[in-house]
Amino acid sequence: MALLELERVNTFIGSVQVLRDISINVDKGEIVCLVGRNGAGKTSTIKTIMGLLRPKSGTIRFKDEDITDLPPYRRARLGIGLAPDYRGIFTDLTVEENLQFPKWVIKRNRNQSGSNIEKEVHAIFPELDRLRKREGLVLSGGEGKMVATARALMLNPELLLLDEPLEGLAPIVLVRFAERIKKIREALGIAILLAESNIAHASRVADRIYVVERGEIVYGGSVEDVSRDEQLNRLVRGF
Amino acid sequence: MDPETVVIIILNGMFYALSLFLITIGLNILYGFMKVLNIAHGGLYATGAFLTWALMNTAAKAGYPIYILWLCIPVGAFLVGLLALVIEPLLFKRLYRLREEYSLLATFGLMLVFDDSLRMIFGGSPLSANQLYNWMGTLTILGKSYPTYNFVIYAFAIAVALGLWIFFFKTKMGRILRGTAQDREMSACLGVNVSILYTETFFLAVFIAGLGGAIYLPATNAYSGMGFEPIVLSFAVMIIGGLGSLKGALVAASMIGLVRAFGIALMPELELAVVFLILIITLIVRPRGLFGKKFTREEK
Repeated sequence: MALLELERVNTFIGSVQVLRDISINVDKGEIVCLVGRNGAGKTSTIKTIMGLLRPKSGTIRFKDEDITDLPPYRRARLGIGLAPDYRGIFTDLTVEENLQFPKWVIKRNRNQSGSNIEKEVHAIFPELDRLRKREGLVLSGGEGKMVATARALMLNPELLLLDEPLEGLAPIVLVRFAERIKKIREALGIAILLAESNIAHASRVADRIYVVERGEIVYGGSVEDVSRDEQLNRLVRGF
Repeated sequence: MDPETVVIIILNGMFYALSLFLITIGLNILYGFMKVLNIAHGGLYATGAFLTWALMNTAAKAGYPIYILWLCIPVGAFLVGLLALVIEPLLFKRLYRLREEYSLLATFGLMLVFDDSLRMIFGGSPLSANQLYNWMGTLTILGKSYPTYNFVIYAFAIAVALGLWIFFFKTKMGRILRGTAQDREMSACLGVNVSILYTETFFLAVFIAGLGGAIYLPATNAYSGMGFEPIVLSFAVMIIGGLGSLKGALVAASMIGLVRAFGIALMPELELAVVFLILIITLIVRPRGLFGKKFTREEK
């Protein structure tokens, strides 16, 4: 049974259809990547899974529960964590406060136990200790992505959604961050769905990929297959 | 002007300033967190005064001891807070995602509803509940007598300012609120039920406005239209201090209160002109106000 399952999901922003009959699934402990050009529908898919966009039709199931109509906060409490493409760091708060934020919310609602997720997150991202007191406003792009990812993990999720986690990173930082994504799976055993526009980046981390084009899934399978298929490669690259 | 008079003018200025501060922090909370400009906040301040008058009047007539009259102040404010639980889901929830001019228009209408309802229920004459004010007597400052009750107001306003600062900057709930104010979508994705959080925040802002009206009642009166003048000046305080800034509200309210008090003493005809001159200069020189923050790319 898949951890996350989207079945024929159609989403609109205003009158524009951004997702067309999207059907994908993510199994427990899997790293799946949505690959496509800018504007292809990757972020809209992530947002629809998180509940930030409401599908007009179709079903979203998480842990075998229909979550199509649930608001984002209920999905977060069910075990879906998101690190968005714009990072969403609370600039007014320190890094430490950003990281504690989900813990405070969940404690406040007495919905989930604390566990030792904090230790695990700090083990995956040891640099966080150095940044603890720093304000969110002064983080670099790479640091912001790291804090956003670590903060989503503090929810103790079973599914982590990462929107463009590797975009805009310097090559050396990119390699390190891709390793961390794999380390998250190893250490926590959770599933990860990431959106990425660069097929080479996706191939560093993903077990499987879906190619998205104009709001539709045009391919689903292994990274190797896409790398071999020149037509798919061209579609993703855009030239 | 002799030094004794200057001290009394300063005390009077601060007395008025702190009433502006109590209204402005409510406005700041609502604007800072929900991006709603609430003109009806003056009406809620007035409702606090009227409801507390009703409670105090009943308690005084029944011959209850003085501590019961003190108790009427938080109870009156709490009753105003309960109003928040009605108007927030009925009206304000619909305004959160709209542009500010919609909230200005809708809450101006609500302000008129409050004012007329209070006049209909309590009549048009000023209502006095000065038992606490008289009970506390006067102090002699540099040879001039000054009401002791006013010092209760100073202490109370400072306690509110300090309490809110601790709440917003040192408590988990305050930090959750600040994060949500900056990016409600992200906050929801981290498990925050933004709808309930907004209702709680709205209650807090309205409770403080009600508390302002209630605590000022013994020293002034409850009268029809009492919410209009302070709301206009409170918006000036909000702009001068910087939108959403607690420190800015305190500094700007003190500035306006003192300018107004000295204006009344020295040039009564220019009293309001000077206040709005400060506002205009602030908008030209520092449009984000004294302590307002620049918007950053991260803010959504």
